[in-house]
Amino acid sequence: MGYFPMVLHSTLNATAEGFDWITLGRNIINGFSFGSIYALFALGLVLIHKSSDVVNFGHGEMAMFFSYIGLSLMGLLLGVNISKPAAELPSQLGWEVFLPALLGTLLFAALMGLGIERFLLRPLAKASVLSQVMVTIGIGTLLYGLASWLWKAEPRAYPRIEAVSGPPFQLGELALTREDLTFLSVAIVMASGLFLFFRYTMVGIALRAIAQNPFAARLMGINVGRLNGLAWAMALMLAALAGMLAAPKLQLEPGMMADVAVKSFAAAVLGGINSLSGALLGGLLIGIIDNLAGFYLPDGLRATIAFLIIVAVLTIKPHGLLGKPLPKKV
Amino acid sequence: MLRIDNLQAYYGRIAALKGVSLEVPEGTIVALLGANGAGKTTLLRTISGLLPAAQGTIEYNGQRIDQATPDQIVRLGISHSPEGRQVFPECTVMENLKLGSYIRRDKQNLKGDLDQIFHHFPALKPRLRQLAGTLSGGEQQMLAIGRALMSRPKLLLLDEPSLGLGPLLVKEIFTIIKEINASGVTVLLVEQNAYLALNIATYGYVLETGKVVLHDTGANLRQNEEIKHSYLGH
Ligand SMILES: Nc1ncnc2c1ncn2[C@@H]1O[C@H](COP(=O)(O)OP(=O)(O)O)[C@@H](O)[C@H]1O
Ligand SMILES: [Mg+2]
Repeated sequence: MGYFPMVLHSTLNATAEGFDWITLGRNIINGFSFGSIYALFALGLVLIHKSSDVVNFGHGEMAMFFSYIGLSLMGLLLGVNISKPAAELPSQLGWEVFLPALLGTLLFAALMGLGIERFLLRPLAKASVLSQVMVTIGIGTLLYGLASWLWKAEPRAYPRIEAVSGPPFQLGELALTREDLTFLSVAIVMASGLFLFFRYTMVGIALRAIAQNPFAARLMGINVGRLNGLAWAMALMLAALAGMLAAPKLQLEPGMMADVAVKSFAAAVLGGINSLSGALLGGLLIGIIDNLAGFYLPDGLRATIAFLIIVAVLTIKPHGLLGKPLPKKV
Repeated sequence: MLRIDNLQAYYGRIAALKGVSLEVPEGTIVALLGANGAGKTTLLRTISGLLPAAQGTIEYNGQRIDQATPDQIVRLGISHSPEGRQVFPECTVMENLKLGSYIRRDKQNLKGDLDQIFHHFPALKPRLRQLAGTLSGGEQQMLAIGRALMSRPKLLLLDEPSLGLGPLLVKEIFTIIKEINASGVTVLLVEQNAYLALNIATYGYVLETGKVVLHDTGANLRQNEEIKHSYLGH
């Protein structure tokens, strides 16, 4: 790790000549767009942390790996073997290819989530949280190596969804691309869906109960291991969704998610590591702040400013913007 | 209904139960008495499957349950209201009660079950939407018992329901425990307050450092000199 490609700002950076509102607007829109991706990542991190107290430091690499799996499935459907160096997929794909590839990838992600919980983390349940976190770092590193080996390290283009790449909507002089809108709506739909899930379904309520008191949760007859597996599966499916949506905007390579992952951790902590609405808010805020900083501040400060703001917020609100103090473990 | 034979359980290498045998006949209230650290809570945890039984057997209606998982045990009809209440503080009272019925498949009876709970604990009814963490100690205890009843248990394990409550509330809780028992639920009641427990118990066991040192009917134990001396403060 420690590999932070700075491709995120490439779309906008070129013409900083003084201040104008249109540029500011564009930066904010672009910030929303990336922020939505951070939010999807952060939602997964919160989901895992809520159920099992673990922070998944392999989240970025997992999302990267899922993007490759998605590409392989697209290739499979089109009869192209993407592990060959010269393999090329069309730059735009219709739903009939994208959707099955997405579903296949989601299935893969869910199985991987269940497997990680069952075979790597559950045996460590009695060990410290730190050893479990180490395992997530290990998985991330392994996936990074595996991806470099299977699909080579050279960056490659990722197909866009045809329906989402049409002409942008014009808001006066501001262009709002269909892609931006898709990111934002997916993030909002997922956050609201999860909110409803945790609020109104028995399984969702049980997941919250586990986070508050795993001992009492077992007395209710809740199968804690199985539900933690479910939380992992859901979180990794979110990562797969975010990965496949973001891949065209980034560029497919083993290190593609390193930067996104760091910002998503920041987003989760900023919003409150146990708050889903916090993850959404934190993701969007980091996206916007980061884009503005990238545009208006000198290069050296760009990478740090978002983190300075986080540190400042956390000194005032230690549990994050919408987080609650973590319950004491019994 | 419940028959425990020569049960041993460990925390790491430390033996907390050193061969406990006891019996809970159907329809009774059986009191489990003993000083702090005697192993009462450990015994309930082992029955619930939270702690493995190292040796010995637990039989429930003739079926061995000493290797069963906690959710299997709840499904068989054994429910456990733990020491210190352990309600889910960030869930509402309603959510806590629903969690109590987590293993139930016939959710349509939820309303009838809730009515039953409110019959025993009317104080909970106006607080359904409140977070459990904001309840008073007495209300949390009622919620913990109510939550345990939501699985429609045949055997209820109660761990120190009087802990930390004022005398009036304690009396109320004990009246309710009698009511619950009268409605057909067998009760294994752990108490430090031996006087109150023996007042409602059919039978009692006294535990000392992981062993049963005395057992008799409730009435006899109330007259027992040793009990009077150690637990009834005479
Ligand atoms: N989680 C634990 N880890 C290690 N030892 C424990 C644990 N819980 C209880 N013990 C020990 O087991 C013994 C029995 O405790 P417990 O069952 O809680 O007693 P009681 O409920 O009768 O007060 C005590 O010596 C206690 O220190
Ligand atoms: Mg105890």
